[in-house]
Amino acid sequence: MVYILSHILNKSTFLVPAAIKVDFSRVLPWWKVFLEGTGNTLLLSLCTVIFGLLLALLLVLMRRSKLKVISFISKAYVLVVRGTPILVQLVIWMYGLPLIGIRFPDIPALGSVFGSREFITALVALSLNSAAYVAELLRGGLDAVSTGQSEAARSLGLSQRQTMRHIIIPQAIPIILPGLGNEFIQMIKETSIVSTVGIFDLMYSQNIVQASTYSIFEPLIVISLIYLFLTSVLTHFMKKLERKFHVVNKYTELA
Amino acid sequence: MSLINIQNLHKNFGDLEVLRDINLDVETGEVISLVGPSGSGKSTLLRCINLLEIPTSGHIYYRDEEITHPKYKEEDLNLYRQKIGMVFQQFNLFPHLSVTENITLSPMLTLGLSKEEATERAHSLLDRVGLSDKKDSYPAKLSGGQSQRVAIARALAMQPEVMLFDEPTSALDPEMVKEVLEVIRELAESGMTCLIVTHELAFAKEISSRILFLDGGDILADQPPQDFFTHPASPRAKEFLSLVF
Ligand SMILES: Nc1ncnc2c1ncn2[C@@H]1O[C@H](COP(=O)(O)OP(=O)(O)OP(=O)(O)O)[C@@H](O)[C@H]1O
Ligand SMILES: [Mg+2]
Repeated sequence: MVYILSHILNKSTFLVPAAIKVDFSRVLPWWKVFLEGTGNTLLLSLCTVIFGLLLALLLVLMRRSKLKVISFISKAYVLVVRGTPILVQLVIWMYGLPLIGIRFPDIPALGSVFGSREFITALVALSLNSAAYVAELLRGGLDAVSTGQSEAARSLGLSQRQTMRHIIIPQAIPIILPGLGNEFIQMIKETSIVSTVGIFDLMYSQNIVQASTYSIFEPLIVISLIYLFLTSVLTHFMKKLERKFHVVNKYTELA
Repeated sequence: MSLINIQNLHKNFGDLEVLRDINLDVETGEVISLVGPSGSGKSTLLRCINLLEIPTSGHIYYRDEEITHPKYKEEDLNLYRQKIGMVFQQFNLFPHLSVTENITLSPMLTLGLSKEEATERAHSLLDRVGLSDKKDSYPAKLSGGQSQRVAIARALAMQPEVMLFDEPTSALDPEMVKEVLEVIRELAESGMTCLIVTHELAFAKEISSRILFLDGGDILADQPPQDFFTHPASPRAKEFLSLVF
């Protein structure tokens, strides 16, 4: 056992070049590339969550429809999207669907990155993916408000719409908000897969710098630190927001 | 003309027949207590009256207008429910609103009262149920008895013509039961039409003009309290009384 272990260790040290030198001085002049990649990642994540949220609202409305077909479509959609890898979905949208004529055009007015066919396609694929997760989040939040609440509201003569707006949604928001924040944080990391189809996000900026400087390790460390920084800062803000909105705190401390 | 007239009301939950052929007339100003064993359909009957449950078949008329008619629209139903106050066992106060906001919400949204008018109405009702000092509290800070009194004030703010109570004191600690019953008693004595599901038989005996005994989805007895408690109209009622009274 010890023999095998030491053998492996020997072998692996053998594989690592003896004189690996971590040297950031060569990659740091490329900070603008990292910065641009970071901006694109943030924008893509934010747009994904916003469009995802809008689509999710639609999915939840469909799910609550009295028409069985509509409700079924929403259910099936969530099942399929959540049950398949996001990379597979991205590749289908990017390379599969164009084969049968479904392809998005370039929109030059939005600039060379955001207006490119790839960026738009990725945004669609990611938003459609996020929508399925957020729809479940919204549904959970709405369901968490007890039926007693809507019965009390209806017994006072409030319409279904008024009940939603004044009773259910205000109570669901503090439940949903943390999940929505998490979805955004999750997306910052998950959007890194768009680099595989050539979109200039933070992950892709690493490719650019690597190709230009022949440094492999350093750019990876830089982008990891940036990802870590983004997610940590956002997590911190989410915690703060959560505390402000937390049901128990809000309803007890104000009294 | 009865205030509420119920004809051949049936309610099923799946295969379970919870109400079977209920016929009932309620006159203005009557105070009716619904008693009976657990699962006998008391809550369901009460909830059918303001259509929180949709009857499987049968007809309910309010002032001769059929509220169970297929043509009765959603908006009509909302208007109808404004006239029927309901108080729940679990209070169901809105936790995100203050006590005053709980009471003013519906009058402002549905009756078109201004904030000032609604607040004034809320404060005078809170005074009436003895909770003036809680007007800016949130429900989480109230005891059960206080919560239920706010819930009653909230229902009264709509100036309903009928009040439905579904076991209003069953979720309360014993020492708080009395304060809630006092509020209901006062309301009943003021001439409000009340239907009360309760296990407080002594209270029912005191305040009711009629006692309905339900068992297995049927009204087995419908008598004034003095008769019901001395010679119940059904052997099942007699058995029930001997067990709980
Ligand atoms: N939404 C529902 N779905 C299915 N079954 C129900 C539903 N509501 C009530 N029931 C069933 O209907 C029967 C009558 O219920 P109901 O609540 O009217 O009884 P109750 O007389 O109020 O009893 P309790 O004294 O326990 O409150 C019970 O067997 C109950 O389990
Ligand atoms: Mg009940």
